[in-house]
Amino acid sequence: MDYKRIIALFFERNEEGIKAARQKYNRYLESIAQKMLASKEEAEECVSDTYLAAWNSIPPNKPDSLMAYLVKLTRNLSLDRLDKQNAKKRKTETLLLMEEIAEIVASEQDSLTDSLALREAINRFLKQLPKEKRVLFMRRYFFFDIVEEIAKAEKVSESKIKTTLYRIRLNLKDHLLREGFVV
Amino acid sequence: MKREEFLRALSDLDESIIAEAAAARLTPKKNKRMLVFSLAACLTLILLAIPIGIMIGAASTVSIVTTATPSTAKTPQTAENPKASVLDTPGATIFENDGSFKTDDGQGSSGGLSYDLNGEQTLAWAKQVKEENEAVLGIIKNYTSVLVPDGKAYYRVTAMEITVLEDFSGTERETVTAVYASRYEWDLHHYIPASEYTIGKATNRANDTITENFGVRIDMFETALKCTKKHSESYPYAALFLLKDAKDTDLAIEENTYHLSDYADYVLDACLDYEPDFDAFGLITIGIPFIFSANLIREVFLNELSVYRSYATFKNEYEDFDNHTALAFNIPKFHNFRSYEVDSVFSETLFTKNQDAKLAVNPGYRWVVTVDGREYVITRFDIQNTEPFISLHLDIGPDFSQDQEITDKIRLNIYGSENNLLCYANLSN
Repeated sequence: MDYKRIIALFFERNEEGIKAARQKYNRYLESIAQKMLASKEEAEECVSDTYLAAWNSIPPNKPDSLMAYLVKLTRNLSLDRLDKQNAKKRKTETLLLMEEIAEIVASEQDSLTDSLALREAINRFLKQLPKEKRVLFMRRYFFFDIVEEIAKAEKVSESKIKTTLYRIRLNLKDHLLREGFVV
Repeated sequence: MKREEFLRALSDLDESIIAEAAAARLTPKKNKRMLVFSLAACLTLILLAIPIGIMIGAASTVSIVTTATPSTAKTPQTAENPKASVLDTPGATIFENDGSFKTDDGQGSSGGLSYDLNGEQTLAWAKQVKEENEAVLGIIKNYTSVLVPDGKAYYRVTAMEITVLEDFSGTERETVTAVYASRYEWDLHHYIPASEYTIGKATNRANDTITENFGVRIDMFETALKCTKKHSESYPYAALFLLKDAKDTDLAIEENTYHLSDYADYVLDACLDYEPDFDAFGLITIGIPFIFSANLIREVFLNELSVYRSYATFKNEYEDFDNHTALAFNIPKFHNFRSYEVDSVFSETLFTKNQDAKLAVNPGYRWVVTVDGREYVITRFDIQNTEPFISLHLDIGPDFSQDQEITDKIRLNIYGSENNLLCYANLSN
């Protein structure tokens, strides 16, 4: 079913919308959640929560891309669960990713970061990147894809991916510092 | 800001960005190696184009050859002889596809592949590529890559002198030096690239840039440059590259462009870090003139050995055992020993497959150390694998007196089965 039709069903408060969304996006969303949480059960629960969250937020929201909207929800819900996991429970890959992020955001201090401003700053940074790099960044830090997997998909060496990510991280850090964020 | 805040912020990015990435994840990508491959092919053609261009009649292009190749250019092409050939490097060892070796005699017939290409078409094609890519034409005058141990990690510092040309007429704009460094770290099994640094044009802002921005030690940089110079004296060769996005005098390397550093790294990776699924050897043998690949391989080989020369702690002590005198060197341990075994070029392996890095002397080869010009046959090797160094003990003939004072050069020569010098490395500090 076309995503616009699914959104229309949500607006009509027709639960067929959830069914259709599940049919269309379930596998994709579960793969994202599972990557972040390293638990099939938790991933399934998380994706179920995603549909509920979507049901509760559409309307009033009317996403341009239903997939992106659901992915955002899944990711946020996964992050919630990830926050609750202690470090020991987290899979190595997630820890590795967190270490990489620490190269951009080294501080562990609570801060008064304006989340809207931060989001916009990252948006601006990503939009000025070439598409290839933007996608690479997103795959790694939004979708939690592992480097090996990205390298295979992109048909380049892992070292190339690591290098490019490293440079993007450095550039993003510079960008955030220039925009006045305490990183 | 906490890392969690950052991760959360990503969730709220524009949906267009998320959708774009989500779609990309679902779509297989074209093969980037093919891009590199194409570039290699492009280089091939450009390499071919220059001597052809010279023949076509532009007298000014002669300067390209004299500048680019301190050696010689091959016999010019003519319309009657449409086979293009490649630049010569007399004296260079040529590794053939079947694993055999020979020395380029510089006469234009011994090395390189021939291509059935029409010169004018090739030149026109190269010009088109240059235009379409908004590329700058450059000649690599010298290139070297050295390995620098840093605890258990190491840096590979690559330096190259590039002459940027105005256009195909051969007018030189300037010569710059670009330096590129990669850090490799030991992950219990092998060395993996940990980070890479582009040091950029080094002619006038080398030191500050390197130390402040990249943390690469000056001595590494200087050594890389020194090696570049040294190699240029010993093994002159040149290659033409399209330096995409190289604007004006700034050759800062953009990671998204495939030019020298990427290309060289691909080749080096193929030589040093063999991966079964990696087709860079195909790239070497098919995509670019063989003489160039031969040089590059040879450079790599020599550079690996140059690690002994440049960075090994030459203990300067001689141990007498078994009536032989042993020279002891500490050599940084790299995975490269392994790589030589699997390189098809080095099918008659100089090193064993043993992960303990037992060095073997191929029965067909003869390893000789020269001390102050006098030859001593190495009768035995002994390797001690002590991370991160390999101690190499070379037992040399009994006629070498341990009391002998070494005043100058110690050199390791490796001769082939026909007593031809395959390669050598200076071991002196």
